[in-house]
Amino acid sequence: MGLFAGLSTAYVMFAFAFQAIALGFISLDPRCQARRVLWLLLTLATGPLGLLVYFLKGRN
Amino acid sequence: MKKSNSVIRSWAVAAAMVMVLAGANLAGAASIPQEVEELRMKYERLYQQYTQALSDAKSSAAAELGKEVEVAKRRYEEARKALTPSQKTQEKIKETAETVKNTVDKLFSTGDKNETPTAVASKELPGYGDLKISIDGDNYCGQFAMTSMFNGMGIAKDPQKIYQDTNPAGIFTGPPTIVEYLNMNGVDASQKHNASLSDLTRKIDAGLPVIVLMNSGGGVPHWVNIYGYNTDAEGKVVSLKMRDSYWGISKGYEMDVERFKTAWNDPVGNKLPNSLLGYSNLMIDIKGTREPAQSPSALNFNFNTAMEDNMSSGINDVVTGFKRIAPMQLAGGITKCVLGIPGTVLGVTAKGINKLGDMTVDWGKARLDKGGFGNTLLGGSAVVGGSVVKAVGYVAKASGNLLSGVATMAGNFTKKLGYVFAR
Repeated sequence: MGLFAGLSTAYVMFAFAFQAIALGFISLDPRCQARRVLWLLLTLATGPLGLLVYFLKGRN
Repeated sequence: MKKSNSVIRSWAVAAAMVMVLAGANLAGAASIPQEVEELRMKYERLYQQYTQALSDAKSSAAAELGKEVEVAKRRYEEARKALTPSQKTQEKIKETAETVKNTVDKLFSTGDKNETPTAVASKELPGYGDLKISIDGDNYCGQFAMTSMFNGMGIAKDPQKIYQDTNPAGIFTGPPTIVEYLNMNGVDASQKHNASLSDLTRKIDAGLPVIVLMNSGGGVPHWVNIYGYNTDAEGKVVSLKMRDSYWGISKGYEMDVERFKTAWNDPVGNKLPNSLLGYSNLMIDIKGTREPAQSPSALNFNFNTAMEDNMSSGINDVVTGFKRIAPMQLAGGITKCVLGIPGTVLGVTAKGINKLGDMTVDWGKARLDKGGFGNTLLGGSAVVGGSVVKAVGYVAKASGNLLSGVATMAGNFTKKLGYVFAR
């Protein structure tokens, strides 16, 4: 399992970066209709799925 | 073990003697002055002239030269004698050699006293120790262990085929990938987290091998097939017999039980970021043979390590699916990796919180040990606070595992569809 540690570390870093960007985007988005906290919680729990739903339903 | 130590000791003594003598010779050779060489040449030249003169019957010249030859010969021998090690030097060399010999003897005798108690009983499954396994590729410890296990259980498998099926890019093989391949090839297998040594020996007693994840050094996880063990007079396990691509590549290898336990307990090492991964005492539990599964199981993960399982199997599926041009495996891997993002973030954060809680509790305990009102108050508060932090960490880890488990199921189901469509 030679590359396990390296690849998993890269994935963990990617995951953190993705969540940080997604949550940062939702929290600062001026086109957010309402219930920003709920959208944030949904994205925190479901990641890309929550972000996708936010793009489809949560913006003006 | 003792026999091999004795052989090594003899060789070490012999090597030490040779090194001492060679050193003395080298020192002597290096110190021969040019003068001696010149005296020798002069002596030989004069001796030639002397014999020439005798043959030419020049008696006066011969007599003169005879004297010169005598003088040259004496000077040369005196100079050579001065360079020959004196009796004292020879005794010193002998004494040094004796000291080296005694040190080597002492060193090895100490090793004998401290070594693992001599095994008096041995349990070994047949067909594993001498199996020849050859794989062309990288990072194939999982495939090596699987090949050893398959063939030992009487299921003929080509190691290169296993490698192509499960790790064609030579990256690594995650625990779910091994379990899935075994189940789809006639071996009933599952993951067991935090297994004990008695779990291993019970399996071997039942005639079944196991595969475990160990630390091969420097936090590099490594798959090993265990097929036997040795016990001492009290029935305590003293060593384990294994086949793997590192220690037991050409034949069975016996590892001391303490060394094994350390490497098994912490397969990824205790340094960050590896220490955030939670595999520990991981055993691939083999329950026997079975009808090969027609498609991968959607529930192929362990809840305690769901985050790690999702990550490893997701990466495995993406790389293997891409390399083997298997679209549904690739799609399943992408599903795991994408949907696994929140579970991974939560799980890794939870591990960090747990570590923080541990540190706080340890600090509090150290304060409590110091005594006094202030230390007791501070220490007690820290222990309580640290315990609460740890509890939060456990809840967060469980939540992360739950999210990762959902991602794994979704990914496995996607992969499963590929097998359904293929029928």
